[in-house]
Amino acid sequence: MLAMTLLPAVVFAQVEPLQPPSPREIRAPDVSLPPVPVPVPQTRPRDGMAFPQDFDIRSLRDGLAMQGQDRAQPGQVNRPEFTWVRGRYENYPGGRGGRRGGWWDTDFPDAEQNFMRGVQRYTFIDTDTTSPRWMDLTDPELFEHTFLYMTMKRVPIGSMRTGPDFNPLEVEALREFMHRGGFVMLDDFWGEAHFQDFLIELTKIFPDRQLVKLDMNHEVFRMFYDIEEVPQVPGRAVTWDYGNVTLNDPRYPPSVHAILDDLGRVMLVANFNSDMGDGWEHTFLEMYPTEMTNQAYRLGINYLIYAYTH
Amino acid sequence: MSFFWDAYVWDAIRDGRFDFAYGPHPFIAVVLFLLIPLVVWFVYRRTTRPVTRRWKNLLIGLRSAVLMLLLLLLMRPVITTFEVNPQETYLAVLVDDSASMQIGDVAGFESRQQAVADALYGEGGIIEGLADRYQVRTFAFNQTVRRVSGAEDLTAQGNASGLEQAMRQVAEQLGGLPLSAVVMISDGADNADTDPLLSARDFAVRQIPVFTVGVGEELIPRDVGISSVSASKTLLENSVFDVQVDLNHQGYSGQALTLRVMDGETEVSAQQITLASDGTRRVELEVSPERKEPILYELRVDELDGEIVLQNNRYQFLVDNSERPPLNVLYVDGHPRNEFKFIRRAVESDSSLRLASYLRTGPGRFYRQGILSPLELSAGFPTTAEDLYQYEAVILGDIGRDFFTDEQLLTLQEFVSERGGGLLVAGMLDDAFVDSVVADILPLTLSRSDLLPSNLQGGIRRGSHATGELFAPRLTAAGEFSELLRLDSDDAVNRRLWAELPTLQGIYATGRAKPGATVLLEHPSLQYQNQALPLLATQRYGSGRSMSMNTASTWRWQMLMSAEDESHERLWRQMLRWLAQGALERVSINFDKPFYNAGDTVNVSVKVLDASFEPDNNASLWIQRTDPLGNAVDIAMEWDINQDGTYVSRFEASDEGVYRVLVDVASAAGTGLETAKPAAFVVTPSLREFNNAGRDTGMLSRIAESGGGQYYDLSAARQLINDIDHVPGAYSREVQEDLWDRPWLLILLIALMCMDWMARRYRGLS
Repeated sequence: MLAMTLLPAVVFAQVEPLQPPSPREIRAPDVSLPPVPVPVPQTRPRDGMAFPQDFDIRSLRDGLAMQGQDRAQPGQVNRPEFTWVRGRYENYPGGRGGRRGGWWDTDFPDAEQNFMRGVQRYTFIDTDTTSPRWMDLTDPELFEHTFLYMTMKRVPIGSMRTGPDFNPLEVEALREFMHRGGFVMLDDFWGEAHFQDFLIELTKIFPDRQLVKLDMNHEVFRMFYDIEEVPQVPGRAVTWDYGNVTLNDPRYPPSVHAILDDLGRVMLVANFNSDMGDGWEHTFLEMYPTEMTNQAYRLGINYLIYAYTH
Repeated sequence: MSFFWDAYVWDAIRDGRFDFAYGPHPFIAVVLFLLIPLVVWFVYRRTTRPVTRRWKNLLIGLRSAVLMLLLLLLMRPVITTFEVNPQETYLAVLVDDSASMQIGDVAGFESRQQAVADALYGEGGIIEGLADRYQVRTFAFNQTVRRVSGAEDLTAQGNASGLEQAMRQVAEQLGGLPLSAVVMISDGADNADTDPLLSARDFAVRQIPVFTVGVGEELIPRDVGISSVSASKTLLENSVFDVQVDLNHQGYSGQALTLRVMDGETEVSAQQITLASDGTRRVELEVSPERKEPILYELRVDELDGEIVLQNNRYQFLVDNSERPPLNVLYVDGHPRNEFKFIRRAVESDSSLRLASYLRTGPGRFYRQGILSPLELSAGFPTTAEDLYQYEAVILGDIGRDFFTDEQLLTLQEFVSERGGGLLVAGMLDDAFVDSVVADILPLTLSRSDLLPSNLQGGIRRGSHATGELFAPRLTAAGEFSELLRLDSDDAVNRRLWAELPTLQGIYATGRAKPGATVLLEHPSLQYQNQALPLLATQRYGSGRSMSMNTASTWRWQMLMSAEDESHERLWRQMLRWLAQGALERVSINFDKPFYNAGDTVNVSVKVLDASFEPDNNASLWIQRTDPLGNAVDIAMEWDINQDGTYVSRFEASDEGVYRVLVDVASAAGTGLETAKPAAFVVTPSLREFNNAGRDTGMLSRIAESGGGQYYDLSAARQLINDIDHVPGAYSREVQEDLWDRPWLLILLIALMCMDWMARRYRGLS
């Protein structure tokens, strides 16, 4: 109960733009855990029906202390199989903190921690809230994972050359990741200019593959939840309109675009005019419509199950 | 009568059939023989003219020899021998007329057939010599036996030499006639399945001696030939298969040549080789089949200068690359995980496997893939044998015991033991499985996790515990050469590719391998009860087979290697094929030989099983065969009363080329089997006449020995004209033959007397 009342406030505080972390700090976070760990009953990852027992302030504390990085903790016998990986990439100059800054960490780690809690609850995927982490696209460890999330955030709407500017090594890594069987989810870019910008980046990766717009009969919308239409999950804060949530804005019709491999399997999905990240992040934010959060969970879970079966 | 003593005379003397017709008591005979030199010595004590001692001894010796020879002849030595009345009996001459007689390895590169024709029908030929005393019946034999009347009837065309069959048929044809002897002229290279010694013994029992004459060289001095070819029976989808060729060569050490595989007139594979020292050498070639049908390939070796046998430089073989219905594999997994995803991906484009999967995605939710109908697996794991038996193999992923009812597990056990299916457990089994039938099926013993040493607990998951660490699996000796884990047909390349595979993470310790299990992969450092922890093991179980894969990290072989690398796909395809393709088929077609030669009888048998995989005796089967010219014939197959569920048909394959058969099965009502199944076989030019085509002297000698006759080389074959008379036979009578009038004995006597006379004249004796 305490958590429930405290949480929105804490989360609210969180949505302030993150301090641009310097890379060194992030790679080796100075984590000091309490000398006596808070005794938390072990929850079996698959007992998803029960409300996760680690649902408390601790996850927030861990998230802040470890910047979400999943490190094997002493005495932790089993790590979950699924690790949520967010990619950090080269950005056009002008974002926060210069070229290595940008918007790659938008909503991190609350979005994924909330989402993982939902994944744990609604599916049998072996994961938990400690799993989310980020890594550079050029990190060789990327290939030890099979699912990659990246925000395509560009600020402001209507701008060009403000978001990701994949460098040749990143392009190479992304292409290889997908060809080996990895699944990439792109999120949160709005309006025609962003779309053109997104196409420029995508063409670097797959100059000879076509971007297809998935219609609602595609398997990915049917495999776990039946999704009748692509939701326009609103972003808030810095993306647009600075602080307000606009629902069903007709200027931004949502759609899902995909790159298919030679056998017709989806390798990459991109949520255009929709922002799953905010949907997950604001799970507990009162002003944020629950319906939109639900939609974000449903679509995200469908992507995950698709990635695990194709 | 010949000038010198014939062999039969020696034989008679050796056999003790020798006597003196006017012989006095042996003691007196010996005394007489001893007296002669004494008397002669006494007479020569004094001579009219003095002679030296040496001369005297010579004169005594010569005179004694003359007198002793005369005494011997006076005693009238005789042998007892045998003869037949002229023209009263028959003689069978059997001449090999098979293709190996074309080989030109008789002196001066004359063909064997020509050499035989000359010896038989040439000037002073054997037939002519024998015809003086016998009614000669000449037969030519290859796979059949026929009468011949002259050299022009010998063609050397047959593709088989059945010595036994030839003798048996001749015995039958001449059954009522008084047969004195059988003469068989052959290179001895018998390639029938029957034993010619048996027929020879039959003749011996009837007191008909069998004589054999050998033709050709024992070792063909200059030849390169393909002696056998084996090609993989099962082909990996869209991939290459290996052809193993045994190459026999003599006299071409150091010679370079090219081995080619031809599909029609298109070269599909070739390899340059340099021959080492004489003998047999194995060569491997890779071929990728280009059409989805039975393909007839021809292997060709260069024809070298001076090669004696050219026929064995080509070899045809059939590879059935027809489109087959895919093998059905059922994969049940308890939760979404990487291993599931990548096993699916590995076999997705393999059209020889259909992976129907049932994945539990969330509470109360599941996701099916690869299903053929909306109903398939809609109720979860099949509950009836009939539903489960549609699959050839079952994979259990990370799934709990409570997913299955006891009946489902029993059906699964029968699926493996009776239906012959494969079971793979590729994940962690919870402790509740320890006492279930699954524990019985698997190659590894299942132990409760809390009974394992603490360092082996933790299972398949990643984490900071011993079993969760990275490790490079170690191939066991069995694993290194197992078809399941081959990454390359070359041993060294295979070893290198295995060493390059990324490490795995996490091993699930269950227990030791069972006594009948084969461990293919093991953990490099972790041990349980002083044995390396098994990672991958297989075993037979009833008619089927089982496999345990105790890690969930083989997906790393895909994600941590270049996208172009196919190791992960290849390994999983091989494992799943192995698991599935041994399963019993409801309709299986068998031919009695791997290939046929023109004129062979083809025996086809078809085994039919009903829905519960019991032999089905109530089916009706039609077989349609299409010969190489495209003519199709339909006939009903007959039920083989001796074998349950088996239906047979036999016919003669007369044309060379690929025959296709289509077996149409209509099962009795209720069993619901209506299917047509294709198969193919090939009729090739026979090479068996040219493999090991050297003269088999040993075989021919043994035939002659068993048949109570003698063996001759072709060059000495004329001797048999005389010898044949004197071998005891059913129609010969015993006669006594004087030896005193042998020409050479008389000449010896005259010679001795002349020498004696000349010696005396020379020394001036009166």
